[in-house]
Amino acid sequence: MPADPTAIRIVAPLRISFVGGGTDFPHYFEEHGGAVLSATIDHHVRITIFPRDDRQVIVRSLDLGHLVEYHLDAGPVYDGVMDLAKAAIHRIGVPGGIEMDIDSDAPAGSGLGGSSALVTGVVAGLAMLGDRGFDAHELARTSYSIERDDLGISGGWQDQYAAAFGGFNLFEFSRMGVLVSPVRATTETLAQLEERLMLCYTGFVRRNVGLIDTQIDLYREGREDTILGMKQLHEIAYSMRDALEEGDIDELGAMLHDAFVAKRRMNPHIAEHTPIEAMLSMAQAAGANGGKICGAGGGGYLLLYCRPSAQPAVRRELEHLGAQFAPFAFRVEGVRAYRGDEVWAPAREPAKRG
Amino acid sequence: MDAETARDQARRYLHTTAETVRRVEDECLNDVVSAATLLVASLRSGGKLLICGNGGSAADAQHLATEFVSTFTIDNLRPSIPAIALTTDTSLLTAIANDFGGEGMFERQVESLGREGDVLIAISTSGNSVNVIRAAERARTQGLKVIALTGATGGDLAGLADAAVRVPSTVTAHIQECHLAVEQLLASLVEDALYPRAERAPAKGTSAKGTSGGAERALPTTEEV
Repeated sequence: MPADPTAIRIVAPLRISFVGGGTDFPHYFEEHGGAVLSATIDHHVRITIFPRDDRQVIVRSLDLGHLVEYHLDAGPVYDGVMDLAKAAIHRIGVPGGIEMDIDSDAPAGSGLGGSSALVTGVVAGLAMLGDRGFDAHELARTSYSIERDDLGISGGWQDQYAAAFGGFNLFEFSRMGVLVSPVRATTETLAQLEERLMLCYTGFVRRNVGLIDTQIDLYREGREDTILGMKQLHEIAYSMRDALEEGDIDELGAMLHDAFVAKRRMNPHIAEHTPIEAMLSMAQAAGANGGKICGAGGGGYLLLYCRPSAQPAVRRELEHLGAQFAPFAFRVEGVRAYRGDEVWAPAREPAKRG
Repeated sequence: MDAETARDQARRYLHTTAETVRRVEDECLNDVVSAATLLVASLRSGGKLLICGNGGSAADAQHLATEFVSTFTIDNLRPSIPAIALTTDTSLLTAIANDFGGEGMFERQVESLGREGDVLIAISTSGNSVNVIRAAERARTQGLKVIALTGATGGDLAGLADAAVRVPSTVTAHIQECHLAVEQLLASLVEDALYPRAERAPAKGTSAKGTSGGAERALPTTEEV
């Protein structure tokens, strides 16, 4: 099929976070430091940008039934529909009108970092459109700032970094900045891990129930269990990384379970009003070694560690409860934008140091 | 007419048809996706579709309503999608024409049937059919979204629409052929977006259980991005 040569297609990877979510929030890591272990996967947010001859901006998501149109000079109105894309367009700027299609492999709020992958993807596409370069840190920071500063959405740093860098990484957060260390696991270990991990959609997603704000409040109130839970998450990130680098992946199932327990300690509301606890215990009874909830909680995806021999039974039990299993593979590359034969990627080394 | 002349005429006609379809592919795809998005948005929030047009476009209106209410693809059994052609009830149409004049025949029906959040699909090759334009104006004042299918110029109708597909031709017959293609395409895109096939699970923006097939499937609800 002949493609529009001026169209820019962007692929931004989603990620599975093994442990450490919550310690990537500035209010925590600026005081204690934080760490997250995550890997990007072959589930994506896909964005297409078409330049227009006029100054209209059209943003669409066919599957969700969202269509937003406004004149560039009038600027966007933030009304809860496609706000992330509108804010990214407003921040980065466009030479003229554009049409943008957005499609995500995972529902919003399901815990695979989709919102930040979307923002990072739009920023990358507009960078290509405007012939601009970003290094990966700059891309992540800009995307973070669009979500947190321009739109005032609470959250951490990990997702923008996962989408911008791509791959299996340990992210360390501190007042000094963000340190990105690729996990030096062998191909064999990663293949084995891929085989034993199961990603499972619980069948519903987090509503806007303020789980993230609750978590921040619990910390600010000085709730002891919240702080202890976060410290544990921080520590498990390192021990899980070490286990992976040593090829000792049998430890991982137990560690995932520890991560879930620590996360619930941090915020006891993450599994409330959901069948998540039931699903996790049923998975364990059917032979899974451990598992955890992805993202801030309230629904979305579960990540299970399970030997292949037990997987059919686990699958059967959870599908009974309405879960859907989503096959996946690790993806090495971070966000990419394409136009014809050209490829835009963020520079891995800082373009300039400030 | 000798057979050779007939064949030449047929060949020229079909070439123009093919060329017009190809130009729709080049020039109208984004507008088709916008139109499909408006339909998905309305149906996800409980809306329905009203469809109108004159003559061949009236036949299109009925054809399209059928695709939604019955099914577009027989192998994808899904719940019925609410769509009404405003061209079918001769008692009603003759009464309105008699009492209010032919120009109000669709407007009056939009007034009674149209609810905020519904979509009016208005089909007019010229974009200037007065009864269709009046329906579109009424739809806008009642909070319906308007999708216009027109020819190259768009007429006044395109300016009233939230999404307009302007087939790049000024020949009525070729515009109508492309309208039919676009209508079938809309039915197909909407069906796939609302009721994705099982292998594409998990469905976006859904709270559905996903694995059950057929008419038990609940209409997915909207999730914000």
